[in-house]
Amino acid sequence: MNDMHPHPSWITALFFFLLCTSINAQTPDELLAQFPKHNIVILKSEEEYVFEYDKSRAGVVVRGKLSDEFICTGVREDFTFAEPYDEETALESMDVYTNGSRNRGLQPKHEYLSIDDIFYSDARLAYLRMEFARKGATNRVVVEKTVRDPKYFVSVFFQEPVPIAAKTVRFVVPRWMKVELRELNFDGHGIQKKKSFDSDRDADVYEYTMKNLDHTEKENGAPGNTYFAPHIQVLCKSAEVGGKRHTFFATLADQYGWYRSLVNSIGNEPAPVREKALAITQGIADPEAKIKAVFYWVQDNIRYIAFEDGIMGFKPQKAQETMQKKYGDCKAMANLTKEMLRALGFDARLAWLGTNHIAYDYSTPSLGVDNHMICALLYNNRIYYLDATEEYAPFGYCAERIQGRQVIIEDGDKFLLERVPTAKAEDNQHIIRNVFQIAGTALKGNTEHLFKGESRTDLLQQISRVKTDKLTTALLAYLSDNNKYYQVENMTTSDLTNREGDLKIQYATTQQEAVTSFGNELYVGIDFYQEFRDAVIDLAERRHDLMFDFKKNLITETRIDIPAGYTVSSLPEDFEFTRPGFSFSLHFTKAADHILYRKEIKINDIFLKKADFPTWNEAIKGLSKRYLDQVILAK
Amino acid sequence: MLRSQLFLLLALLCAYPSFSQKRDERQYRERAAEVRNEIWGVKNSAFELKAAPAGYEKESAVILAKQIQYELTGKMSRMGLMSAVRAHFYILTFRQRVQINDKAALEEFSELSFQKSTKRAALAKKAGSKVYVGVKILKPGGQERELDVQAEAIDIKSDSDDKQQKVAISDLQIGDVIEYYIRVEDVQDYYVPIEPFSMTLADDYPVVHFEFEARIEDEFEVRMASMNGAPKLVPKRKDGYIQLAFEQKNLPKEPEDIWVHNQSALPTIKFYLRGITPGMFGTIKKGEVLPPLKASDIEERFSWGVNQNSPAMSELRKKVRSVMREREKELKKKDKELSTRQIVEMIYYLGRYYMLYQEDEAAEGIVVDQRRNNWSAKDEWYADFVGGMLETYDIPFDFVIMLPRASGSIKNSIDMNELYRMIRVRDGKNTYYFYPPNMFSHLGSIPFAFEGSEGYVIDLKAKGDKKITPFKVPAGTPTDNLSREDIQVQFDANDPQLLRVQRQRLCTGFHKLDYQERLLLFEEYGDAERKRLGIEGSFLDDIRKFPKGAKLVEEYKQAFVKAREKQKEFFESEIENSIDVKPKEMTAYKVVKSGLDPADPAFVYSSDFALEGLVRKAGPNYIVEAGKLIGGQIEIKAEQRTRKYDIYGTYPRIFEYQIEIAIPAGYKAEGLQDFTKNVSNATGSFVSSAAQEGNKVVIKSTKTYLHNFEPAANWNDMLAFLDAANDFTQQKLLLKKM
Repeated sequence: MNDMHPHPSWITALFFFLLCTSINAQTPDELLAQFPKHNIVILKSEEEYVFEYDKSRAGVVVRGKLSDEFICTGVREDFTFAEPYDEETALESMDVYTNGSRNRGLQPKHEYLSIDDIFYSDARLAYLRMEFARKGATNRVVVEKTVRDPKYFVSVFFQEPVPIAAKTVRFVVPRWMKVELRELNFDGHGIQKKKSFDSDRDADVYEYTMKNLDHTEKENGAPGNTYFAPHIQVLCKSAEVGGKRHTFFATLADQYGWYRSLVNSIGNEPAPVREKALAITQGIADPEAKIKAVFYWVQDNIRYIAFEDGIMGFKPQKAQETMQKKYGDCKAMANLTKEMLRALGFDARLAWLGTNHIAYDYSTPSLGVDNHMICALLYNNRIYYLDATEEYAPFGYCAERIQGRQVIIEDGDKFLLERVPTAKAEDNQHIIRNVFQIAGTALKGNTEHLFKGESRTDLLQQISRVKTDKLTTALLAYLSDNNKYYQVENMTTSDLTNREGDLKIQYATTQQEAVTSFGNELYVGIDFYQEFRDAVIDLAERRHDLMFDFKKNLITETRIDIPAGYTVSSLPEDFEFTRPGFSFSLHFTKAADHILYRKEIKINDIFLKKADFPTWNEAIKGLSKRYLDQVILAK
Repeated sequence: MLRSQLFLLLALLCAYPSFSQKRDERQYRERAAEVRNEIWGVKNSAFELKAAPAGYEKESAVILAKQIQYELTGKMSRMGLMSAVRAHFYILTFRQRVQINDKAALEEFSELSFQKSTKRAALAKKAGSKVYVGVKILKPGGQERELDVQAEAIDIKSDSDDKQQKVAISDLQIGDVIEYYIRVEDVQDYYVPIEPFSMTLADDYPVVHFEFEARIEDEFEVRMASMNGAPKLVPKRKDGYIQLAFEQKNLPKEPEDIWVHNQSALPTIKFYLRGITPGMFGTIKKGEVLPPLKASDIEERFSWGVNQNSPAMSELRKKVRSVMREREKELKKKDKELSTRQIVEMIYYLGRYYMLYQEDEAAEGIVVDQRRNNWSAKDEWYADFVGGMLETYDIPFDFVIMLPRASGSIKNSIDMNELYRMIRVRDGKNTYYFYPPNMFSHLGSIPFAFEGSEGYVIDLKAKGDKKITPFKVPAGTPTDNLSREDIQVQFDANDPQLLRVQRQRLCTGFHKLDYQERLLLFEEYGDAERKRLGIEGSFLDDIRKFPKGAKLVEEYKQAFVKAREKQKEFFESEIENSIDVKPKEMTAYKVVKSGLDPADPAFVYSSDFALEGLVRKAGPNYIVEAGKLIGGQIEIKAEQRTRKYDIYGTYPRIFEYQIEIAIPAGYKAEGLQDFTKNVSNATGSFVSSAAQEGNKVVIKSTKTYLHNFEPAANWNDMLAFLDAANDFTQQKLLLKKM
């Protein structure tokens, strides 16, 4: 055979290959029709994760290779590609192929990743700005990463900030590796799964393919992405390789065991902590009062600053260091609370949990399950959960974000698996009581606000962030909803630093232009705040469920005296709309010399699912309309 | 042997960066220690105050002492033996001692971010900047603790030429006093102009003691202004330095009023330094402290025409001249020639077209959406273009030199770079101003930022002191800036609480630009302007002639589609911004007139939409919040109602509304009398009325701001008509079932 020239059939094969690829690939115009709101889309995305035994480290690593081919479907544009990495995940390489050829001029830049509210994180970003010189131009980015310890390989999300025309995600799992791949939120995305065996590698290969995947988008009030984004939760259990058994998190006991090993090596010094705890509780005899004194001292004196720095993302800072620095993250604050209470003889323990930002629970042991640490106190046959990161939280109260969440509590070499108690909407009541008289075109009288539970804590937290000299102005702006026709005078408040008991605000009210007089009739708009008015959800735009910050129970009770010589000629109809997750009710009652108005709004479930949006909108439309109805008084 | 040496050398070269980084770090720490001793090693009694005096209890924080030190040297000797170039050594020290009274202040002072170092490519050795930070905390009991900032700081960015850090201040609590300094040391090539220095003597928090010191080597010329009651500094001289210093007690807090220009209201000190910069005009008065620029200084330093011979300028002139020549030829056939008016107009509009409208073949991106609408010409370059063209046509002209009102009076100007220029042509009764155009301006448009300000005219052909004369930038009248809305309202046939609105807005003068930028499509007005100017072909015809033109045209068309989508969004948000209510749906929108034609300069657009929430139901009757249809009015907060500072408004202007509400069959309208307001005084007015015409209620309102400036004493007059406008928005119309 003549090796000097390629075989004709080889040319034919090549020709067909080219033909096939061009048939498979969508044209820019087709992609534009598919994703009209986007100028850059991913034509083809391929990801492969291979579990490997790394002899030099004598451990298991995960090698990831990601290839994303971006294409410009409209107008030339520069586009930034970014890939995060951190101490546990090494970025091995990042190469770009522009219009098919390796673009050596384009090298990634590296920056510390700044995440909202996190003071310091070891996460970095490698990024590069790719040029798409014309419609149809492509840039393929190839990234190689190594996760140095499978414990940290917790999930693989499928979506990107731009749409993806076609994607394949492959996991190569040697038979010596025990891993569970949980398929989450696959519904509606048309994801195909194929399992095969690669005999060369003695490995199972799991392949997920999908087409026309929508882009990711941040929406206000959306739950965490584990609730809705299609992804694989990776549960690395164990491996039998290199002549030994490697255990990751096969059971929750394994996960707790690892946490336990970290907290055993914190290096707390009992003496200075005890000294401070004694000073804080000096002169206090009642045990519960002692607990409160310590818990509130940590809330008030330790500033919350989030750190996510390598192992310090999991291991608390020393208690004495937190005391000295006066700042720390949740782990530092939990550890200090625990150490102080233990120094006083209480049975305080560390507790791990995931806030409601995360959809998972501990039935799937993984580092992706939790993101928070608090102190659990076993006292009087009850477990109290002390989260000192919640400023102005009273003893015995748990914030919505941790309510109902599974929690693991230290118990020597074992652990307790418990659930944080939940509160009801009624626990967070905000009650407004008005007694008004009609004075010309105004409603005049007295108003009282009562805030309980989370509505109280929320307001106290906001107040504490206002400069002292601006406090009155800020409170007035809040009470009047920035409306200059709602005037507040002689305002008195309960102690604005007291986290226990109801928060009370009272004042004399003048609500200008609430009454309209035409001829012999007076028209009264009875509701000033009109909560949730026009809060209709745009069904065409909104992609994700809505998550309220906490359960709500808003009650307004208004009494309006009927002026002499007038009678009630018309009252708005009552309004009721009740569903399990929320309810709205407006009631109007006529008495001899006054009118009573009672409004009650309840948000019992903080998750408002997309499926419930139409019902919600129906309720809001009815409510908004009723808010516009006037009381008529006639001479 | 050779091989191993080479290997060693390579190894050394590879290791060099880390050696150099370690050396940099060592030097940084050594210098940091020196700086610390310099600042904290010297006793300063002002910084020993341990708590705020009485009267400050309600403040969030109190600045017990604040110090700013500025130092500039430029001697070669500082460069070391090996170096042969001059450099500027700039040192700025900011130091303050703050009592923390509440949580808000604790949050504010509990973290500190700083640019640890930068490196610049330059002739000077070690060009770049370093920042040194020191922090100490004083507890109420008197204990003092100093932070090891370098040990506690963490990196935000750690590139070799850009290092940034931040530090969480440990052990800081309410009731503590924090003292910290930030020292900036910067080395810069001598030819890079020195940034002007400006400070306002006011702060977010009250300041008990303030001190300032500048030490400037007598190699430099200092030009300084003390404005609005700031102390007049008397220079002292010592060891080859000029020293400017002062102390002051009890600095005020910055005002929170609207319509304030800090540079015109608050005590301000600014200075500008010049060293031996090559190519600089005029001589440097080394070691002198000079007053603000006088007219003669400005005239002496003024120059123009440096861009005259650049290839881009020649190209631009060629294009403009070519169209003008064609016109001249046509006229010549009729034995006519271009008038001065025609010439200046053609220079303005053709120049603008070729500068901003026509696509540059070398352009990197395609910008034909609303971003294009923000383009404008550059000041100096534009004056050179216009001047050159006028010279070609033998039309005499002069230059107007001016300063925006927000920067204070031109009499306090210290730096030629802060001055703006435009060209003036006088032709008999007519005067034409050439201010650098934007996409939609007309010949003679001058931004309102300059209206009524004092400036100068420079006539280079005049002799002696006639060369520069005072000038006042003309100010418009309210009628120049008219916004007029015609709003037709009907009740939806099926839902009387849903209003169907047709709205058309006409605006002139300064009202136009913001809306033109948002609502106009380059795709449409670009070619309309081209046609008006008599330039053959279209925008896309030009593109088609570029290499790979056919493909490019497709891309441009795609970009036009995206711009149209954005236009729709802008129209929707315009309704919401104007009426303060989000429209339920927008059924139609269009630009009626672009406002680009100088003969028909009004910008007119319209939209049809539905509004919810403005109609209340009262039994069988309806109450229409008709007053709200004029949109949200400026509201003055309670704390802003008393006023100390003069009022710097935007421009004199009129907002006119005519609202026609169709009365549905079976109803009658009541409450019309409540819409009558009539407040009119020397600062402005709000006049409104309502009347029934057939089956319509016609509501009219006019709000007029007479001037762009009012003295503080006139504030109550302004409040009177601003309040009237607000009251109007609360008025309601009753539709009573008959």
